[in-house]
Amino acid sequence: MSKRMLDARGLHKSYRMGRVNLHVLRGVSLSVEHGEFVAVIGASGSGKSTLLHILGLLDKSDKGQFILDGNDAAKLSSRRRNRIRCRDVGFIFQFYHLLGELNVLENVMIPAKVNCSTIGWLGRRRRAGTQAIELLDRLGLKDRLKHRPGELSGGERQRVAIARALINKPKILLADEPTGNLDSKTGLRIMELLKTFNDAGQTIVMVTHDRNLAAAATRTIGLRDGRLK
Amino acid sequence: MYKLFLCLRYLRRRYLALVAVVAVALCVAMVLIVVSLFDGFLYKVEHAARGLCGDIVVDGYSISGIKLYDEFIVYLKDEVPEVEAATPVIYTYGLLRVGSRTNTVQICGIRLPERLAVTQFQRDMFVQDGWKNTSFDPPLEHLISRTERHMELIESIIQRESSKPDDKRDEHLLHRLYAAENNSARQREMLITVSLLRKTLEMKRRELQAEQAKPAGLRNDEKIRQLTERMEEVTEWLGKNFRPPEKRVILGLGLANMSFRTPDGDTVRLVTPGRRAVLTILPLGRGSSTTITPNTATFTVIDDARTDLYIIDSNTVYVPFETIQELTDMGAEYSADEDKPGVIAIPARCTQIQIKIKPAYASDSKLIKVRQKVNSAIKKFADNNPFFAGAIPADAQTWREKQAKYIGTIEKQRAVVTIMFGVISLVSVLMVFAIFHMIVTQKIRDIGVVRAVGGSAGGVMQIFLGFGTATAMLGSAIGLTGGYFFVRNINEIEDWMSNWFGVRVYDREVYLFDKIPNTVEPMTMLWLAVGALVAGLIGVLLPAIKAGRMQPVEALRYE
Repeated sequence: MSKRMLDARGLHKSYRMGRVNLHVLRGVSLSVEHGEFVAVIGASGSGKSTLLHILGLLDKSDKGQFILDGNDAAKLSSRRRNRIRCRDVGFIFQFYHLLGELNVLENVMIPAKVNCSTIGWLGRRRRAGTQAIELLDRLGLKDRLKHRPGELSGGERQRVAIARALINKPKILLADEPTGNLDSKTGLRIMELLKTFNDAGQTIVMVTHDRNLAAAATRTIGLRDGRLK
Repeated sequence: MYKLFLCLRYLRRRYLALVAVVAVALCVAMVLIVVSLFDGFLYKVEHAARGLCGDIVVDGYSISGIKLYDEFIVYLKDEVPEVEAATPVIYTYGLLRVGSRTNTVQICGIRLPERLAVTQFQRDMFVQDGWKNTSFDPPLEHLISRTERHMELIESIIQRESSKPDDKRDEHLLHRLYAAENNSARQREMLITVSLLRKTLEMKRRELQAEQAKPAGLRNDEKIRQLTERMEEVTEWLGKNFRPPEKRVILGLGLANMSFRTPDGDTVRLVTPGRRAVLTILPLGRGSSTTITPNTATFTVIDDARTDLYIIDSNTVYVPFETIQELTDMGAEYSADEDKPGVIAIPARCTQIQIKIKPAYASDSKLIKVRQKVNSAIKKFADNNPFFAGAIPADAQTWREKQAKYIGTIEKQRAVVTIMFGVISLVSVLMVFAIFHMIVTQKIRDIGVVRAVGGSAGGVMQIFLGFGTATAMLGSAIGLTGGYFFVRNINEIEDWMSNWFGVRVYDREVYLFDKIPNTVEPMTMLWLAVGALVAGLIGVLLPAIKAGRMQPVEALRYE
């Protein structure tokens, strides 16, 4: 456990938007220890989400080094990146991104299904189902298992998204403005939930623009114009 | 696991995909129906063509025909063991007059017992339908009973038509039905008279024999004279009105004005057995050097037959082989040399030899090999018998080669229509493409989520490929099932349409098949299922590649 959960050094990232080259990250360096709850605060367009996507192996940096749980991101094959994303990283998005065709339980179980082959799934199905129900029970959604996302409130949807992010017991949870689409009261409840999971040892990196919410984190990092403050 | 799960879930919940399913189903059903109907027609025509002339046909190119045909048939059976049976046939042309109706006809001289072994002549006959010993001399009581049953049929159609409301009643049809009923009634009376007179003749013959057997003193010469006169009168009447077997004719069912079909598909004969028919024939057998004077002979109609080939049935009459041989001057000609009395100068001739091949060799490929053997046998026989085929040797063709003109036409039509409908079916590919492009666009965020939770690019592609395949399979299954049941019940559907809309798509007065062919080939269904699957895959391929290539970050940010 002495190894760092993630270690980023001098990350750069640019996007081309038409004719304009947007330099979103300009040499960001960041380390997160196991069990930490780090909040990255920044205004809109500061590069928070881009940083989070690179940390979650959804995107690659143009320059710099990023090591996730001992794995050098630059040296990972796409197959290995997919596997790490599935097993070691959990994502929570601002807009929940639940699959509309699936009910709550099925949405939560999707990462577990991605984690298994067809044959493997036949052996794991019952256990994964039990785990998902237990998780949803902890999040207060046991009576919503068969509901579709369209039938849930914003807070409920985000709790489903949290359950989905946690189903494979990831080493790190990456939350992108998890309360950005919720009212303050519901947002606080979500933050309480994240704190609870962090207290249980879950490493969390959250990006937000809300300083009040960031107060729940064990460490806060500011990001402005692609640079850490 | 997630790929199968998601593609099945999308199939259930993405109602847009149902449009693609319906498009595929309609195209598959459409092509299945068209191909099956054409296949059905083709099968019927092929079946009819084969039943008409046997497996292999030997034609003489010379107008004077093939000589020594009986000797050749014996030789052929020895030389080519695959041959099961063979029969000589004479084809010529002439005029047929029945009552006031005159038709130009093709006259086919046949030896009935032999022809039955070679073709399916006994199928679909009026009196001798399916009989194993069809002849030009069926029992009189069968002619009477069959005519009576035909009258019952006409009566039932008349009742059915008469009971219709005035605006739906077909007065022209009723008029024709009454005419047919009157004709049948007259012929029935005539046949009953023939039957009675035959019995009378037999009775008088026995009386005459008894009288003649008496001793000279007891014999009544006057009675003998009266009996003899009476018998001569009866014999003369019978000879005129119900001719002997060699002067009987079987009509092709379809000769103009001899029969007609009701809109419901019943065949009504205007000419029934017992009717007098006059044939005027050109005696082509004598060669072209002399003036041709037509031969005319009177026959009694004994039956009618059909082959299902309209072009045959609408202009063919069947006459005993030896009779037509005589009328066409194709019989044996004896030497005019007084020193050589009874010596045959020119042997009897036929125009065609029809051959039946043993069933084990009846496939198309084997038949071609047998046909080559038959041609070799013709050459060998001709070498030893210069009389056989004249200057130009005879030539054998398989039934398919012989009927290539008709069969080829239908095959071409089928190919054109299948290609046409196949091209139209490409619409389903475009439909699948458009719908899946739309679905992929709608599901971009889902793609981002799947990638975020560890799904690979290939995995995402497979979800949509699987979705498209499942759509094509479902559409294909629905289309094949629907198409199958449509074809199987096409006659009932056509009847239903006729009852409701008053329009008959399949005009039974034109086609000689009673019913629209309704067979579906399993191989056709298999090919269509494969075709639909490939079409679905082609349609979904580009959208699936697009989905697979999508970067997760772009997908998650997509608005």
